[in-house]
Amino acid sequence: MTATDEELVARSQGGDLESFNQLIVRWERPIYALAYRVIGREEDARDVCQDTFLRAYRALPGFKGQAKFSSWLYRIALNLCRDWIRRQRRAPVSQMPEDADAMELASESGPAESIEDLVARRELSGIVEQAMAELSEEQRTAIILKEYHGMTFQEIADLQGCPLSTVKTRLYQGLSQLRRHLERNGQMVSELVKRT
Amino acid sequence: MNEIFVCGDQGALVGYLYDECTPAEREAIASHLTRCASCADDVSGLTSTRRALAAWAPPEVDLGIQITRKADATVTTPAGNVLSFARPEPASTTSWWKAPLPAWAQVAAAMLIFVAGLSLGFMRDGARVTENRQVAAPSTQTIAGPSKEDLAQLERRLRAEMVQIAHASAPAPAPAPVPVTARSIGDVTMEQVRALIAESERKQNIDFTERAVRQSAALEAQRRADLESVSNKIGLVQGQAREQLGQLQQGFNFLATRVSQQK
Repeated sequence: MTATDEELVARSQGGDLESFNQLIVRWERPIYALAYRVIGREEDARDVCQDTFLRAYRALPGFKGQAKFSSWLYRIALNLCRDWIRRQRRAPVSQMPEDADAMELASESGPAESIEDLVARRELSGIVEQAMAELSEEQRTAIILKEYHGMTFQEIADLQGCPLSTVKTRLYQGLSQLRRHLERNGQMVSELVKRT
Repeated sequence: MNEIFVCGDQGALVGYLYDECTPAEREAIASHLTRCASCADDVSGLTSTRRALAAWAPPEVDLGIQITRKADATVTTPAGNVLSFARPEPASTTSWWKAPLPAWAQVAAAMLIFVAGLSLGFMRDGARVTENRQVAAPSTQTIAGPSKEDLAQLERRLRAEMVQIAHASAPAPAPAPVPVTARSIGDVTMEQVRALIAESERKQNIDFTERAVRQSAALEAQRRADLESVSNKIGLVQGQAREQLGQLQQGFNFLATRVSQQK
């Protein structure tokens, strides 16, 4: 039977390192994905991810469980991302995917996805990434938390420290801006969306 | 929540888009969308945008983060990145052996070194004394270690030497003359050293002169070879120039002949 986050946290607080490592296994991908989408750099996202778990481990004795463990992790990660962006003092630079290598793509594609579909998905991914990079940090974060992490408006508001209405506005305006960006690529995006 | 939807209410539209609204609100918005083209277009466009967003995936990386406890806790990844951190230290962050010593400790260390050096000096002298004694009275037996008798003799000898030293250091009515033997030995040694230095200098001079002569000879040979090579090349060029000049002369003569024939 799989232990819940709360159980693993309690065991970790009791000194069971293995339990904390289980939490890492459970949450490292979402945290990395969050960091990557917010800051847009693979290596830095990896560093942020590692740092998030380091900080969480250090601060674990002080974690009283008022919030969900995942929310607590997300908060740490977002703070680190924000610090990173402030340090960089620039908009996140997307790592646009380089020309797709056929062999690499073939190894990535699953049994149900053709290489053409995979190439289309990657192209669209690049366009979206570029469009996301043009949003403000707050809008981008709100969309990422909503779209990719399935958080509720209230959870996003708690994480961003703003009213619920502000979250909705950020989402609406951010999505509208993305829409305009994607419409500029018009035909290509619609073709890619159809394929994906 | 107010169930009446106001056209263009962004917050309500987002709630509808993400299905995070009450059923009544949802029904009201759905009904509005059938009548309002602008809002319908908005929702449709944002829905398409959301579909496009689904394509954005972060790159696949092998994170494999793990916290291990050795001396300190560390976070490691399979890629070889190791982030180590120590548990929060109470105060000092500098290692004790890196921290500068206080003055009293430095003085104590200096005294300790001095005393150790002094003791070593005494030990060497003692060894020399024992060695001299063995030379003076060779024994057929192999010395395994100091016997009680040896130690007693050594003690007696040390006491005697200490008494001699005490007498020697006692104030004398007249300054003690410098031993003649010591002075002569020193002079002889100095003369030997000077002779050795002079010999070394002489050898170095000879060596240096030989090297300089060899270098000079090598340079001269190289210079001669270069001159010869240049001379040969000049000769070659001159020969080619003469040949070309001859050809030109022939051509000129040929042309002159043809011109005169045409006239």
